[in-house]
Amino acid sequence: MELSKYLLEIVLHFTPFTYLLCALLLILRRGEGNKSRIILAVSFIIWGILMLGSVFHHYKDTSNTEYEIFSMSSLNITLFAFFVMLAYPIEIIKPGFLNLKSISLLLSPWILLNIILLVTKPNFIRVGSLNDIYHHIGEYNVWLRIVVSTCMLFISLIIAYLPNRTKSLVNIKWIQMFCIGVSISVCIYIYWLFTNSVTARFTMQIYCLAFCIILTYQEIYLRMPLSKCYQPLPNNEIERQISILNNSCDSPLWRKFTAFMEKKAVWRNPDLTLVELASMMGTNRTTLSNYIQKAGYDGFYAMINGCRTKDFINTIENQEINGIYETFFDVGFRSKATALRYFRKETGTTPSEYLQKSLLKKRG
Amino acid sequence: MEMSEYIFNLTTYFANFCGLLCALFLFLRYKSGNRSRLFLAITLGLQSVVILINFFINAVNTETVNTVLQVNKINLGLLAVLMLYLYPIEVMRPRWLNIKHTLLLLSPFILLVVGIAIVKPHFRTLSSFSDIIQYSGEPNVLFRILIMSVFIPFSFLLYYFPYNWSKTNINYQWIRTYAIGIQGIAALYMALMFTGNIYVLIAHRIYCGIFALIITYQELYIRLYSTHGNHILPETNQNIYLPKDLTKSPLWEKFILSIEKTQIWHNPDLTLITLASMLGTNRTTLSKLIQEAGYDGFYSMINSYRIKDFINIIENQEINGIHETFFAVGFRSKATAIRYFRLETGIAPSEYLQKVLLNKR
Repeated sequence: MELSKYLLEIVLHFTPFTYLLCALLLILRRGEGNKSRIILAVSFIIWGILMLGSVFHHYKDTSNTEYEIFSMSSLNITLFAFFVMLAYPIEIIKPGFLNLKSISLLLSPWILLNIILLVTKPNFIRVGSLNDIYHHIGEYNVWLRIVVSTCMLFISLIIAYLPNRTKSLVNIKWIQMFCIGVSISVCIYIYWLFTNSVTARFTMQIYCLAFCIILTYQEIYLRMPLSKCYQPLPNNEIERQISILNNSCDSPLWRKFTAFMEKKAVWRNPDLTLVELASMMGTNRTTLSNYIQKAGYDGFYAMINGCRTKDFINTIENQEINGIYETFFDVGFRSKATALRYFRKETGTTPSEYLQKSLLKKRG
Repeated sequence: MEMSEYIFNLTTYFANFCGLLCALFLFLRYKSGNRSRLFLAITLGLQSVVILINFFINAVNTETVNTVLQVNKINLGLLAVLMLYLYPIEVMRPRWLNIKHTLLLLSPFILLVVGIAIVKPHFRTLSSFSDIIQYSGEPNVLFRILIMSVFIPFSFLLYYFPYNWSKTNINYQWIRTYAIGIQGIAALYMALMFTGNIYVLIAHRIYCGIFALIITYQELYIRLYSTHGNHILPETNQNIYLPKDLTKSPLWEKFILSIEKTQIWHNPDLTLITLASMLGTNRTTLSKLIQEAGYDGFYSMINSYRIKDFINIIENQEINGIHETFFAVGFRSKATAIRYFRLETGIAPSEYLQKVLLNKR
């Protein structure tokens, strides 16, 4: 057996196992999070089963040497799979939006395609090369396939432009990363579809494998787990008991900045960037960045996360809270790991130990 | 390709893959755990890679003659089984495994390899179980059978490992289960080496894969551990935790006083029988009294005491951490501890602390 074929075989088997095992892990750990884990697990199971199907197909194919690219059945299944993959980000970006109606709405392009196929029953000619596609481009069955594969490229736009994402459980960076991730996998898939090369297939399987592991890891360990009855904290402009920002830099402009930031609690916006903050305060990024560094912060993100941590400490010491992670979420953190890291930097302990210590201090 | 061969390929991929994925997760979560995760990750990762390479070599050499009791396979199997002990030993005696002790543990394998390299004996190629019986008189065959017979008894090592609950990171029940798990692997491997049957091979692969999954899951999510290695609690000021419903039985009162004085729940291995014999009664009487006092049973009573002790400690003493304190009061499972805490208070430990903190103001 050739090495490339052998490697492909290994990867072809590994990928469905990854999907099924990650689904198992997500189901076992469902209690901590919300519905998103179940949705991710279900979509992983669907992917795993589809991939197992492709493994069996691969074995059946080894005897059949006829060369074919750009097959409609593969295109059809993959389109379905990509739509399934969108359910999880939609659930995180708009919690509670996915019900039977919206799922069928999401799948409607795929259902429409299948209805068209059923009604028109086109005779799909077998194409062996790009040249063949070019020759038959005028035929309905060929350009339909081209249209479908082109549409697939833009599939991730559904999440990028999901309207009204005020309740989103993740920040905008996460959404961007997810869209890029999906788009790259679509590109690799289409490349494979046109060329049927072993390398492309291998790359795609490895890519899917890594994608699955990374997604599972971030869902279980990084994303903030919120309880089902979570209600966001009202962000009213209150007078805070402590000053959140560092006042060591004694410049009138900086004092104006800190007053503005503390009044608006700007850090509670998880998507805040340096540019945005600068434009909010009517200055430019260079000036703001200079002042932040003069005040003793390492940089913009260090300052914002420091503010979040102080706000968090202030909240847990003085207010009724829903839970530790919910409070981290309220003050603007979107990653469990980042929140805990900054908390440790500020206090040297974990939140629960911090609470215990302040309890002991209070008791004398 | 034959069906059985295909299933064999599939299960080999499965076992390998479970090992690699588990190793990856353990390695990624190494920092939030302790050294035992690294040991488990190395063991599982290394074994998966070795199996994969072996499988690859077999796939390339198409002229496979059915042989049993191959010497290099015995060697590798011995190494694999020995490595499986690294993790439980690290869990039972944290920090005991240094280079010297690890070499000592792996010494049977090293001795075997060095011995074979020096003596270079001729090993007859055997192709079936009847071959083994036929040639069992020859020293080289006898030698191999002898080595194979060490595989299963080796896991009794875990039972006889110096055990003391105040120094061990796990309870006795777990050690027993793990030892039985390894014995299963060793037994399947032995059966495989003697018969060379493909179905035994399939069973072995599936067993190993599931074993890796279960062990990794319990390590990542269930096991409680103490990083400080010192679990002896300072004597508490003998708080009396009143039972749910004090029946007016004088015997029960005597028991309660005795239980609370000795703080017997700190022992994670406490069973109904041990407790009964300590109190000088029998299990039926004790069990009846526990139920009369309003508890669901023995474990529910002991865990309820642990939680009350835990709450008392976190409210009044300097602690090292929430999990460490759960560990100190006698819990060995994160899931059980949190479940009983929720049963007792209705919320998570950190929320409980926050509530108490606010109430105090």
